Amino acid sequence: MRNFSCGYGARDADVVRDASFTLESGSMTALVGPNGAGKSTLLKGLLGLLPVTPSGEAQFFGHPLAAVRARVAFVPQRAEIDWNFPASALDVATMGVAARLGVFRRPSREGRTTAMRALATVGLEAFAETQIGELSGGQQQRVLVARALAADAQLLLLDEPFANADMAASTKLLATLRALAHEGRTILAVHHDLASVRAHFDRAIVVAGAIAADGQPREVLDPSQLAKIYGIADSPEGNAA
Amino acid sequence: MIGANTMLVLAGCALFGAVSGATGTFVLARRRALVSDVAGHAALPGIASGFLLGEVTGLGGRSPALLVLCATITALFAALCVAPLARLRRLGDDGATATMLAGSFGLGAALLSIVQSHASGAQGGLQTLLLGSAAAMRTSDVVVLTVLSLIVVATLTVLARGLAMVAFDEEHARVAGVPVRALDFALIVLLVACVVAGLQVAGVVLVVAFILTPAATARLFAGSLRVTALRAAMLGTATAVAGVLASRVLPTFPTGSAMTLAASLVFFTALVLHRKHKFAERVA
Repeated sequence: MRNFSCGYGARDADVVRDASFTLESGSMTALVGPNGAGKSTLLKGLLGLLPVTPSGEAQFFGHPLAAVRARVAFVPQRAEIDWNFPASALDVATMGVAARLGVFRRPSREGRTTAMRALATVGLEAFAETQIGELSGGQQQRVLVARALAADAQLLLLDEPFANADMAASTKLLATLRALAHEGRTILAVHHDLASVRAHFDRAIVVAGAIAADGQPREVLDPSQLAKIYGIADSPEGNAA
Repeated sequence: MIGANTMLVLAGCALFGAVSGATGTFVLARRRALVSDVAGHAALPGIASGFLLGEVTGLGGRSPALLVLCATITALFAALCVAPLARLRRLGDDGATATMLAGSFGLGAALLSIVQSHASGAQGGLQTLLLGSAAAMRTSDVVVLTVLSLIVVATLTVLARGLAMVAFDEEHARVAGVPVRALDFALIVLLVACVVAGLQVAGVVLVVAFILTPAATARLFAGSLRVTALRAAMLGTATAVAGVLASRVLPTFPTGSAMTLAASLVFFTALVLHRKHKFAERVA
């Protein structure tokens, strides 16, 4: 991704300006930054989900997104989903299979097996037939990850997967994501808990209207940097990478 | 004693109940419930202008094909306007829905008054389209309903998976390359087909009950979207049949209202049973 800018309205009102970074495959990267800094916007902009076409270039595996959609999956914030939707955990995971094979093809028995395996990976095989509205918050988040896995996505972009998760749920999800990274999958997650980023992520990209810092979590998230970005970030643009 | 005419009305209403229930399930899942109300009310200016057009061109004010065509056009236009309007002016979905609903019904009422003053008393037939007149259903109506139903059911079967993905998580669907706009458009077309098919049965105001009430009832119980749609279709058929029979027993009771009441009654009964069941589960 190079010189990527995106927002919701006029060009000069871009929420994120001139962001550039490349992700290593098999790594876990966290997008951190204060509220309203543009983390989610950046994620959505990369995926073409914003009403305004972003400027700059975003490539996935060296191609534009349209050419490699099957290898990329978006995991939205749990709060953006209507959990009263009539579906079981398995139904949702099967949507991942459909995302890969195309929605007009009937998923085979194999597709069902893939969806079950994805649920097993996130530790939800026992809940396959459970209605999604009856799952706990942490389980719902993991169902969404399972959907991405059922699609066999190599790059997972997660929007605040740890929002409102208690410690047990966070730990489980972190373990799942780490296991996926070990398989060679790339994880990019918006994350608020800086201690958790320091402890579990390979890299932190700090977003504050632009990329304010980028590197090893331990170096990037040191107290003086943080004070500058979170407390009194007068002109974060000056630090753009 | 059930005569041939009652059998015909029963068949037509049962079919319409099934198809609109199934379609309504997808509409409800996509959170477009009130768009069906917009489409229903927007059929009115179509009917009125179809009448005027028929009078002017000499086809006759009550040419069914012309009325249906014009109703389809205005209903489709209004229904398709809701989403862009909600985005464009920051009105939000409910604001856009209310605006379109009121606007098109107002236009319909105005046109209807022109119809009334224009052709002396000739609008008698149009009035029934406000609340429907299922009892006046003819064989040709049932044939049209059957063909329309088969098309709607076939389309829903093919599109079900895509519609479910879009309804559950639009952004995920877009990243996965699912044709979200095309599917949304198809859903609106199916919805409008149901609305226009239902004008004879239930009229512009009550048609929404056929599309949404069975779907809302079916949503009370667990299951996939597909299962929910099947359940809504069965509920739609059952309540339509119950309504037709009720209005036979009490002839002053219009069939459309009887069917709507039956659907609402089933919904509230199911709601109470559902609550009780949940409560029992929690206590146990």
